[in-house]
Amino acid sequence: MTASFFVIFLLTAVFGIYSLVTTQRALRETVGRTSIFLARNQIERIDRDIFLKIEDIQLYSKDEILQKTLLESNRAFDQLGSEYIDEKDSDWVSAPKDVITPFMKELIENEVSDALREEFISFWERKYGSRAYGEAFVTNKYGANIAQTGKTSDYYQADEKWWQTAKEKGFSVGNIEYDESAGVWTMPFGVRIDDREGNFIGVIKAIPYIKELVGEVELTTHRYQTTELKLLTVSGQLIYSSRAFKMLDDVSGENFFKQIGAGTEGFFISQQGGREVLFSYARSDGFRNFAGLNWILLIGQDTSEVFSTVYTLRDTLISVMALLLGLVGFLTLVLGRTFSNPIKKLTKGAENISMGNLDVQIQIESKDEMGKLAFAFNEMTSRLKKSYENLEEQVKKRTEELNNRVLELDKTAKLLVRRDFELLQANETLQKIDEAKSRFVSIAAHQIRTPISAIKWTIHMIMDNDFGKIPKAAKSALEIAAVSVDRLVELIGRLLNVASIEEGRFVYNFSEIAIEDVCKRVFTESIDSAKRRGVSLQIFLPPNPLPPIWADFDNLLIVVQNLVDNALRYTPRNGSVEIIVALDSQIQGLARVSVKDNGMGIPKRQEGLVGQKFFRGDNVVREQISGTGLGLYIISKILEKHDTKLEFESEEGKGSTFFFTLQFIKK
Amino acid sequence: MAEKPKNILPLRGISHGEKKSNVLIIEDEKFLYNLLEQKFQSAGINVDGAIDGETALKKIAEHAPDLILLDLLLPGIDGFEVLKRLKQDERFKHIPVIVISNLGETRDIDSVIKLGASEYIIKAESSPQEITDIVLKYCGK
Repeated sequence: MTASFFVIFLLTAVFGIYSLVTTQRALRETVGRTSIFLARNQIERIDRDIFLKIEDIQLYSKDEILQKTLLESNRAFDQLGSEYIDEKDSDWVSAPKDVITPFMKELIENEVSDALREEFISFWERKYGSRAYGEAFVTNKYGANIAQTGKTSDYYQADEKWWQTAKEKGFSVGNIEYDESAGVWTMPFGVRIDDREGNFIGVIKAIPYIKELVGEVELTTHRYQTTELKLLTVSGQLIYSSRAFKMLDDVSGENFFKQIGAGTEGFFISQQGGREVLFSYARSDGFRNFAGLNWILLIGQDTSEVFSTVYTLRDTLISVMALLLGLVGFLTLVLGRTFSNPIKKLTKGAENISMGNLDVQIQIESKDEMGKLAFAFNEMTSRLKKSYENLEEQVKKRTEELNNRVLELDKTAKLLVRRDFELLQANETLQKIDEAKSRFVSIAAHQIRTPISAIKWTIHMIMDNDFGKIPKAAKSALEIAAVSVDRLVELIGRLLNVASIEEGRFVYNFSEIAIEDVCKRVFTESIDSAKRRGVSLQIFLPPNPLPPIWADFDNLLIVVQNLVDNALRYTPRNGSVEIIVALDSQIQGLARVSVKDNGMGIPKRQEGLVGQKFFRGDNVVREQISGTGLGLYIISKILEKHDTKLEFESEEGKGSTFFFTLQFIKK
Repeated sequence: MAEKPKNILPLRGISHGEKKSNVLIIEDEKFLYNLLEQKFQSAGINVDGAIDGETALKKIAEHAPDLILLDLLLPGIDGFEVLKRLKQDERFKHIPVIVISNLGETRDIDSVIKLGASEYIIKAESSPQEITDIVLKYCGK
């Protein structure tokens, strides 16, 4: 009992822990994946926005006025030479910071600078009420400033790295900088300007605000309350955070930064000031021909919130397990006490009885099933004892009774022997009667035939002129008489056959025979009769001999002969009768014998009667064609013995085909 | 079963110079006997008759015929018995016996042929001319 309890306990615990671990792992994986997906989404959006901003600037660089002005400026500078630029630049740089010289003013207030202001500043202020760009300016192909929205730090820009990169690569993205005048963080873009033929004619620089680029991140719906977003440079400088942060704050020393893997994305769990946070990250991988800036987007969520479902499940499982274990323990203890003890008592009682002690009584006081069982057990024991005591007396009594019975049986047996003898005698008598009866049928046929013979012989002899020449009319009358007598003979013959069949005296001699032989014999024997009736008789045999069949040759002869006789009888002059032997077309391993005529057929409504004793078609009876109606009956009986049956197809007035099938001997 | 003769022409008016065959007809039906007697005689055959088995055996012993026509159902010694005795007798077993009966069952025919009968004719199924033709065949005519 204790062992089984322990096993159940262990199993429950193992099962619980296993399911907990598995579920937790699966859920964590799902949540992590979802989070990565979000991070990837965000970083892609940022990359795309940067790309679109650059593209905007490129689009603007095709502006007609800008292009025209640049071409003019370049042509003028072709003549001026570098000394002019150096001179102007040193003038520019030496001017105090908040002083705008007339030359500078000229560059701020020309046609192109108006367009720049409209494109990068006024448009945004008008539309959104806030600025997206700090400033913008354009240099010609020599790096000299030609138009600006505000005062730039230098006149000459061609010595700057961003300018060179933009000229070489088409565009450049500068470092994040703080714009003191506007008090915002910016990230300058430099874009090369080409003329329509693709020749380099200048560079435009526009300085968008950072928050304009990464601001979209904030728009993300916060799925969980604890969700935080961070955008970091590859070296761990903070560019954006959904919490309060310091721009370009170095967080490379933080746990979460160290745990970021080398891959393009992933998730991990990190301890963050006493909280457990699930972080997912995605590295920027650019947008179209913009390679990206190697930024990393990080999404953090407190596990207590993300995994709350898992924890609820875990808590429930633990409670259920505890409850189960408690229940098992309780049952083991309580039921063990209620059941084990009485069962032990009962077992001991049973052992006692098996050893022959029938005085056992069990003491169980409870009123439950155990009590009932004990009561029943005691009852059984006392009954057992009583019957045991009775048994000997009973045996004695029964033995006496049995002795009496044996005497009676003896008498009965003698009686039976006498009855058996009587039955034997009766049987012999019956056999004798049977033989007598069969002999009687035989003799009766003989007795009828004798006077018929006399009549037949006389008729024939008169016809043969044995008693003197007779007139023609008499002869034809006698011919009819002769036919009638023949019919009478045939009828008697068939009656005799029917009697034999019904008495089971019809003898069958089965052997291996060829069905073709039967049909050929019938054909040979019937050809004369067919000629006399003016009916054409033909036989069709298969090209190759058929396999043998197991049958009674003589009886099959009767069958086919009868079918042919019938066909000849019911077919009018000039009609035709065919005997067809063939393989059955439907079932393999069967021979099919058909006798086909084009005689008067069998009326549809009488088809069911074919094969009954004395059946004859109505039409046949009307036409007064002789026949006994016994032929088909005899055929059916014989075919029955061959495990087959007579079948036919018939149409009144068009003829009938009677056929049967026989199985070949299986090799 | 006994085959019916097919291609034998009925013979009448046998030439008088030849020795006539003697046929013994064992038949208890007088009327049938008379018909056959008339038919055979006109075919040029000497005919003698016996109406039961006993008479027949006596007559055969006195004067052995060339051919015997034997009915099966006879008063006293029946045809089966007569046939059996004749075929067991060295003196008479060569005489052809044509059984002429109205018993038509296979087992009757089988047992008679087994006993040594040469032919089996069912009276009701034959005409006197057909019987005569068969007899003439056995008389070697």
